Amino acid sequence: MSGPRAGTAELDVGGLRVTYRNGAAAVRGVDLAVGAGEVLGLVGESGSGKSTVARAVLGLLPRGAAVTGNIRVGGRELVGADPRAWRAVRGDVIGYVGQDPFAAFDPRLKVGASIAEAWRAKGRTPPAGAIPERLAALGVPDADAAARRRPHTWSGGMLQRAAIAAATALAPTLVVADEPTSALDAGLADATLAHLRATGAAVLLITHDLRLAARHTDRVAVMYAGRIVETGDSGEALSRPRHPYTQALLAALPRPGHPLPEPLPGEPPSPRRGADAGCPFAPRCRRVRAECSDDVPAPIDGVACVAAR
Amino acid sequence: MTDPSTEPVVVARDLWRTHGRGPRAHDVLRGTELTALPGEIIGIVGRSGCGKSTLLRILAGLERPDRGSVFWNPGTRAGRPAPGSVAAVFQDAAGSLDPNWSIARSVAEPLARRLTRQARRAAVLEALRSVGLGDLDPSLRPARLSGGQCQRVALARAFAARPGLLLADEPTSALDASAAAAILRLLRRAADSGTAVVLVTHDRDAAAALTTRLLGMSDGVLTHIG
Amino acid sequence: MPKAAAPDTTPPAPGRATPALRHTAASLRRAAAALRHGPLMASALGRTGLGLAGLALLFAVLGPVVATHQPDTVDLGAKLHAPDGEHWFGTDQFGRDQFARLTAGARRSLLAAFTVLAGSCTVSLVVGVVAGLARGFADAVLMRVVDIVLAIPSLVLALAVVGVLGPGFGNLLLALVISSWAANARIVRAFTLAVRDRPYIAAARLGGAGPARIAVGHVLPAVVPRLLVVATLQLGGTIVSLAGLSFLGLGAQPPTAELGAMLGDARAFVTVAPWLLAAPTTVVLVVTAAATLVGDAVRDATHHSAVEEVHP
Repeated sequence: MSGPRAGTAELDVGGLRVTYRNGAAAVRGVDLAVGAGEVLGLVGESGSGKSTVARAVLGLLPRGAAVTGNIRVGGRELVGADPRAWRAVRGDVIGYVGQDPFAAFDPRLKVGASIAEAWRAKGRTPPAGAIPERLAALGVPDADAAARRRPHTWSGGMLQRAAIAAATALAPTLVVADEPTSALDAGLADATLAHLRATGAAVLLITHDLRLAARHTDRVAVMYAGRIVETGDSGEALSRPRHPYTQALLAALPRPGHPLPEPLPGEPPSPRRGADAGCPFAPRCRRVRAECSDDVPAPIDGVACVAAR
Repeated sequence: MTDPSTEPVVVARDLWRTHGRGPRAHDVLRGTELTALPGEIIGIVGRSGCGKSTLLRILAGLERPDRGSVFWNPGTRAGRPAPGSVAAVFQDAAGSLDPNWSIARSVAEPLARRLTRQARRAAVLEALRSVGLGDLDPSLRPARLSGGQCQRVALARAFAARPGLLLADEPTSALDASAAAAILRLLRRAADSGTAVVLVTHDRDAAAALTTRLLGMSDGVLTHIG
Repeated sequence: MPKAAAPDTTPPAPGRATPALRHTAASLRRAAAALRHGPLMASALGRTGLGLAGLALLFAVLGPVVATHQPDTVDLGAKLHAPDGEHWFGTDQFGRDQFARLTAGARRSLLAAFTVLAGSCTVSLVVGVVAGLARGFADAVLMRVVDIVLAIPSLVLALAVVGVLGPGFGNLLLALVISSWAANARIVRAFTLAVRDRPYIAAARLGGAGPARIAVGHVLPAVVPRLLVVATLQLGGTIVSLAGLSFLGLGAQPPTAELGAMLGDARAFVTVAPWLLAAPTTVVLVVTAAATLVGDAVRDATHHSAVEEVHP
């Protein structure tokens, strides 16, 4: 295992549980760490809880959501932090890149002015020339003029780079990116993620796209039903997966020249279900055994599965 | 007499479409041609903004080209496909279903209105079963469904009217691998039963694995790529 | 106890009506639970607003029942009496019981305000949805009409309409509908535009649904709840407008009890009988405050649930 050493992680999540007000226990005990300059991909099906982890780290959960466990960013505990503490952390320590760049920018503001908000929100002034400089560094052509135009004249790929410029304006040590490229073409997605990585921040990348995760992350954590079922180096975990769930997900990817892939049988369990008695994946698992229903398997060597041992 | 199985479901000739006006105007389609036969799966790949989605909307009869023409079989006199003969699924799976409607009501929407209650209900259940959602409570609202389930309900609605042409605009790009695999299989099954499928996607692997013809779109023109 | 009399939880009517009934019952239960546990009760202002609204409704509904006199009975021997055990809120210059007139007036004002809002919402729904769905020429024409109506200050427009039709409570309601639908039509059109391009509308069109079917089946269910939130916010203003125009003598004609008209009459006696002014003022104040607070709370509550819908 190649996780960051204890104490050096920019993001350290331990025993995180999130229950929404409607009773949905979306996250049921998640441990993960992202080291400085590292890109961690959090992958899984929709409803697996990966976006809830991202929102918990950003402090953007809806009112009434119960959070227990630890979220440490740069050594600061954020579970139970008051709104002022969150405001102090956002921007300076944690940056956020969302899914839809057009929704992220105020259509009435010039893109440069929107990026300048990153400084102004903290009562500071952007250094002269800093915004075009950053945009240019992220590969935006003619950055000076582009910053003076409004978002609707930008392309989605370029505007997502502007969103990255805004998220990293104050040099945060951690960037949370929730499906940042799902609105972009494959080629643009690769370039955008390469730029995100080049900013040098630790990145928590939430994605449902396994191929994208394989190309652009150092490590991956595979989530299922509110828990992490497998973690490991991206190359290793996504080419020689050990957990049956990861194996099934990878087998569901289409390959040219092969027959159409099989989807996983059944549906993922509802987040509103009660506490799990055994492995929540067991009903859909090909390698299910009798002992799978005994306990929720604890991760050993990065894999939470009795059959994989 | 032509063999009905080789009669094209849709023929698009020399489509031109301009978006915007004045200095911002640009040609999205520049003489696009497309013919779809029953049972074909045509994949269209291309950069975003290349006109793929506009082409699909024109093939659906939801938008008219500035120039050129589309012939549907069966078509109606107004230059539109017959109701229910064309169906579509979209990238925004949740947005494809009315949030205020039950799943059953959505699936039943394209069914002929003169059907009896029992016949409608049977058709809805059959359509839901055909997409692997036979166990789902048809009185649920879409908010209770995952993205993959929403997309399968949208496909059930599409299949319910037994369309001759099925248009799919990035139906899998917001879905995880397993849900996407289920959708691809359903598209294949629709084609096997004689429906012509036009799939717009940026997932070249999916397009290559699924389609019988792969077209690339650039500068408003379709070119054969495999 | 015979078995048949035991409370039966399953509705007796089988077949078609049962799911609909069960559905309605379930929505009612959900609405009640939402009211009890929902964000309306969560904010102090929302609770205050609901409390005041309950008080006002109680006053308007039950007041006439408990009143000891008829609102229009003249008793010249009991002119301008101060409040006492016989006349709880005193009497006016014709010896009419002020409590009876107030409850009758409050009931009339509330009913009138709801009528005006219902009329204004209906007109704005038709115009807004048609304009939003039609695009092009029809949209342009309807929106220019809206612009023209909006260009005239609504009070001036209402005065002009009453001037043409003649004073009277019915005409006043009509005038308020005419002067208030345009702003809402704009809002409805904006809501319609937000729904119009959703994929499910395209799917409905492909399924053969015509414009009327789309408007009634898909657009109205999405637009009406949002318009109701807006209308709740307008309730307070409508009550004040009604009272104001009646105060000027353009609305309810004597001897009809109406809050604004009562205020107008009481003006002359403010030094000798200040209670005549105080009581209707208080009622208008309470009703307006209740409407405004509930409106604010409803807006906050729906905004909140909209946020939550995105993250279930």
